[in-house]
Amino acid sequence: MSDRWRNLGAGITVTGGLLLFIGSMPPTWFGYEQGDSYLFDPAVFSPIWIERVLLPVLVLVGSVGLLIGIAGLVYRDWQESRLLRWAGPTSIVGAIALLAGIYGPDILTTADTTVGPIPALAGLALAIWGLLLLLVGGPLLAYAYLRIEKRRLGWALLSFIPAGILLGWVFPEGLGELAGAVPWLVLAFVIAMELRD
Amino acid sequence: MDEARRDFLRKAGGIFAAAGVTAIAGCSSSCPDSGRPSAAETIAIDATPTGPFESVPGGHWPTEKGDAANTGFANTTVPNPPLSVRWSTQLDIPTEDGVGVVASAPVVGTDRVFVADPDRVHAVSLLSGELEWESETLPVTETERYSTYRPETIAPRVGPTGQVLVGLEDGLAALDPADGSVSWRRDSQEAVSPPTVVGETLIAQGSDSVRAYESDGSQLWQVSLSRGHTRLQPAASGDIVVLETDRGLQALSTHTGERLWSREAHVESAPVLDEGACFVGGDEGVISLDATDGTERFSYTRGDYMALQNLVVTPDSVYAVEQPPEAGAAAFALDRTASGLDSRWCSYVGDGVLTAATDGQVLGLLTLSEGPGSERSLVGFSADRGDVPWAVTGGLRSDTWLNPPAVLDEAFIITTRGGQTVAISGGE
Repeated sequence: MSDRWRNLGAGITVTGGLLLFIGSMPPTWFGYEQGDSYLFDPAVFSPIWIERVLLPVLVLVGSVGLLIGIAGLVYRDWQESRLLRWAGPTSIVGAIALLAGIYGPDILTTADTTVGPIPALAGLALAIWGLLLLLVGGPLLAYAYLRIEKRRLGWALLSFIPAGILLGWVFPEGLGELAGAVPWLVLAFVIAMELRD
Repeated sequence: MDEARRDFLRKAGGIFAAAGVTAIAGCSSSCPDSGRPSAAETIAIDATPTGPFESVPGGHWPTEKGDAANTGFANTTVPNPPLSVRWSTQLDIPTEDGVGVVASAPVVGTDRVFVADPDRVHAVSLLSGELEWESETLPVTETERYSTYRPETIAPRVGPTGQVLVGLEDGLAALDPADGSVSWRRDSQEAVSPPTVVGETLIAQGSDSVRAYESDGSQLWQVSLSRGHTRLQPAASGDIVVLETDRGLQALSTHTGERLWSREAHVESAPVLDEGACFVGGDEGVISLDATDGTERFSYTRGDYMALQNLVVTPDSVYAVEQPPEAGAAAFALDRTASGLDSRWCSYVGDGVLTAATDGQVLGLLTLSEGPGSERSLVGFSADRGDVPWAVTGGLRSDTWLNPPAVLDEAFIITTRGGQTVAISGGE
C-alpha cells in the first residue's frame, strides 16, 4: 500500500469518526422538539430536517469512513496472521450487513410512508446476521492485532464498544449519546495513526 | 401423480405466501408517526362553568357536518387556550338501565342549540345554555351501525327559514325554532337521513326514496333510490345533490331530481362537494370527481388496503383518516394542489375520527392514551404542523363520550352521548 493511499485512508477514517461524533449530537442542541405529528416535507436545515435527514446521513457516511479505515488496515496486514485473514473479512462483512439492515429499508422506502413489513423483516434479519458476524469477528480481529504486537489498535478495537456503552450509560440522557460516540472518535484516530505508521 | 402433487404444493405455497403478505400489509398504518398526540393543555368537559357568554357567539353550524356540502369547514377561528366551559346543561334523554347514550351531535341556529334523541328534539339557549323547549314525541331516526364516534341518533338540521328539520323513522318534520311545535310533518318515507338544504329546497333521503320539499313542506319531486346503511346527510351544492345508495353514489339535479351520474363505491363516510368537485373517501383512497358529470379528476391513495375516510375539506386542504384493516388509524392532512393532493402531516389517532376544520385547526375525536383508562377527547390539531395545543376530555363511560362538535366563532358546542351539552370558549 503506497503512502498516498495510506494517507487518504487515514483522512477518510478521521473524517468518518468526526461525522459519527457530530451525528450523535443531542437533537435539542439544534432546536429539535418531538412534535405531535409526522411532518412530511420539513424545510431544509430546519431542526426536523437535521434530525431526520442530515444526522442519519452523517452517521451512515461516518460509519462507512470507519469501515474503509479498518478495511485498509486488514488489507495492509493481510500476510501478518491467519486469524486476521479470517477475522478481518468477517468483521467487515458483518458491519456492512448491519449497516445495510439498519439503513437499507429506510433508503429503499418512499419518503412519505412507513417501511413495509417485508423490507422491515428483511432488514432485521440482515442486521441480526451482521451483528452476529461482528460479535464473532470483531473481538477476534482485536485479538489478532494484539497477537501481532499492535497493542494500541488491538485494545482500541476491543474496548470501543464497551466504552461507548458505558459512557452512554454514565452521562445523562441526550449527552449520553454524544459521550458514547467519543470512543468511536478515538478508534478513528487510532486507525488513522496505524495506517500512517 | 407426483407432478400434480408438486403443482398443488406450489399453488398452495403461493396462496399462503400471498395471504401472509396481505395479512402483514394490513397490520399497520402508512403514517410514520406511531404515538398518540399529547395535548399542551386539556380541559375536562365537566369542569366548573364560568358563566354565560356576554353575547351570542357568531358563526353558523346548521348541520352535523357544518354545511349542506358536508365539508366540515367553519370559516371562523377556534378559541385559543386556556379554554373554559361557559355553560353546561344536562338534557333529559331516554335511558336504559339508568344510562342514556343516545344524544345526537349539536347543531346551532341563530341563538339556539338543537340536540335530538330518539324520542324528541331539545333546544337550549346558545347564550346561557338554559333549556328553552323540548318537542313533542317524534321518532327521530337512529343510526343503524354502532360506531365509537358516531352518535346513535341523527342530528337535526337548521332549515333556510330557521326551522328545525328532523329526519324521522317514518318521514320528515319541521319544527318551529321558537317553541318546538311541529310546523309540518310528512310521513311518506322510512328512516330519513339528516335532510340537506339548497337555497329554499329541502332534500330528504329515506331508505328507498329521495324527496324534495319547499320550506313549507310542499313536495317538489321524488325519486326511487335504495340507500346504503350509513344514513348520512346527502351532500348538496348549487344544482347537484350527491347521495349514498346501496351500490355507491348517485348524483341528482336539485331542481328536478333528474339522475345525473352514479358511481359504484363502498361508502363509509359522507361525500363532500366543494368547488365543483365531489370528494369521496373509501377503500380506494380519496377520489375527486367532477361534480357535474362524475368523471374522475384525480385519486390519492396511501396503498392497498388503506381506506381513507371521514373527509373534512377546506379551501386549502383535505383531511382524511386512514383506516388499515387490522391496526390503529392515522389522520392525514393533505394539501390541495393543481394536480391532486400532497401529504402535509399525519398523526396516529387510534380509533379516532376527524370532524371539522377551520383555516388554522382541524378537530378530531380520539383518545389521548391507550387502555381502558383513556378518555375520549375532542382534540385540536394545528393545520400547518399537526401539533395539538388543546384537548377537551370526556369520560370513560359511554354516556360521557363526546359527539362531533358545532364550531362557532371562538366557541364550540359539544354534546356527550348522555346528553350533557356544553359551550366552550377561550379563557377570559
